[in-house]
Amino acid sequence: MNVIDTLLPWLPLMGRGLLVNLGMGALAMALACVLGTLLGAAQLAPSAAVSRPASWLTQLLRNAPWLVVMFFVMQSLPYELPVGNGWPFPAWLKAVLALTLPATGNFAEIVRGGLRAVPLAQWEAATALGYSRAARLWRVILPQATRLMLPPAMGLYCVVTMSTALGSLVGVSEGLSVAREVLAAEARTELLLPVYGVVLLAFFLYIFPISMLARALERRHAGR
Amino acid sequence: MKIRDLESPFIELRDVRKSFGTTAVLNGVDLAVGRSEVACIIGPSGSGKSTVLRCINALTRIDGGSVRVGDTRVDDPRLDTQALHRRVGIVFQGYNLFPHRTVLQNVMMAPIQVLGRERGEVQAQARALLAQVHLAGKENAYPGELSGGQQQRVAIARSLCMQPEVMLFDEVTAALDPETVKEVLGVIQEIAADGMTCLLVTHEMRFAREVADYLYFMDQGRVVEHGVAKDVFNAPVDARTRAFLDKVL
Repeated sequence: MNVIDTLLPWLPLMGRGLLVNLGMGALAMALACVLGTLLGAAQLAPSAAVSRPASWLTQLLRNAPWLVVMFFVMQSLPYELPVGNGWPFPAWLKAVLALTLPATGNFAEIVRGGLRAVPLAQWEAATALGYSRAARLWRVILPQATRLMLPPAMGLYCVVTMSTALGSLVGVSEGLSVAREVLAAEARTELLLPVYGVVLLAFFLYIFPISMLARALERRHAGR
Repeated sequence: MKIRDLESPFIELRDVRKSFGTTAVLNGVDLAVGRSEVACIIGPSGSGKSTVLRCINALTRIDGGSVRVGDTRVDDPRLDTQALHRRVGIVFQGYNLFPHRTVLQNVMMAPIQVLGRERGEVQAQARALLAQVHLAGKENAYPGELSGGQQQRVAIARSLCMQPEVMLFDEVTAALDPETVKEVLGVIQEIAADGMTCLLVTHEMRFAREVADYLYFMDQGRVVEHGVAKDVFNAPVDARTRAFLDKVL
């Protein structure tokens, strides 16, 4: 049987595996957006008791190697969630949390940079209109910062999505794991490159347009 | 001791002191503005004029002395700054409109989000204010699409929509082209004629002369001379005031 005829029946299964990667990436990024926004804003808090620990935490998270964090989180989280009689804590969810940590650190830096890029006069104008500190941030500054944050955030999303493949090293049945199972089932060495090639191509086709869009947005902002 | 012969000044500063680091900016400023009065502060750059305005609405906290607006002690450490900001409007030299919102949204945002007023009512008022500052038809434009003079008039409408009791104008025409200065000053003149208490820092001497009831001349962080605007312009007493007016008039 030629390579294509052999691979074709496996593609739906590999596709489902890759959907797991996309789901994990989206969930990790969503969590990182929420936590990173809080952490990024906390770094600009007027009180050093808030801003300094926030900076430390951010530096810790964004300077930790992703794979090491992944192993560390997988080992430290329990097999079961302590809810009711104990719910199984699925490996994919642990991996999502593991990806969330470094992504949060990176997103916090994006938020901090975006907020700092909004002129101080905007804070002052909002203050003079009676906005509270939180309302200034939420209603006036963050919406302006979002525009600046979007390109780097899209870049981060690409990195997070690509990193979901690390899940294959800790037992998550995502695209890369499925690919290895396919190879094990077929047991033909000439399939190695084509199978991994399919995974590579699938990631590239998803990531590349997002990455180009981010660059286009960045250029548009720079042109202003 | 009374600063001037006013029954009960609406804004009153007594011996206000402020330093930034080791630089003393205000060295004991006394100043009073009556209700519905238009007062101007003039003086050379760096004399502390803008800092006085910022102390009045607590954007800058003072080191010593007292500041009072109506029955609010601005120097009170427990001051409710938000409540003060709802009563004291300020317009800045750089307009500081929110660039991501349309003209109408800029004017409507704070009354709805800060004061919790009803949307329809605020919209009606915002449209009326924009018409008053001669910007009817620009409601859906973004600030970036407007000229400096138009942006500054939006900023005035935005501040007025909060229904403040006092309006502070901080060199609002300093960044404008000469031909647009007039349209902004015209709007301020109309607001003053409606009875709004106004305190302006300005370099527009002609305007100060025509519109101001009362004039303060500041130099090196002090009020050097003050009086009814026409008197100060016509017969300045202090040598520094004379020197300054000679230069700018």
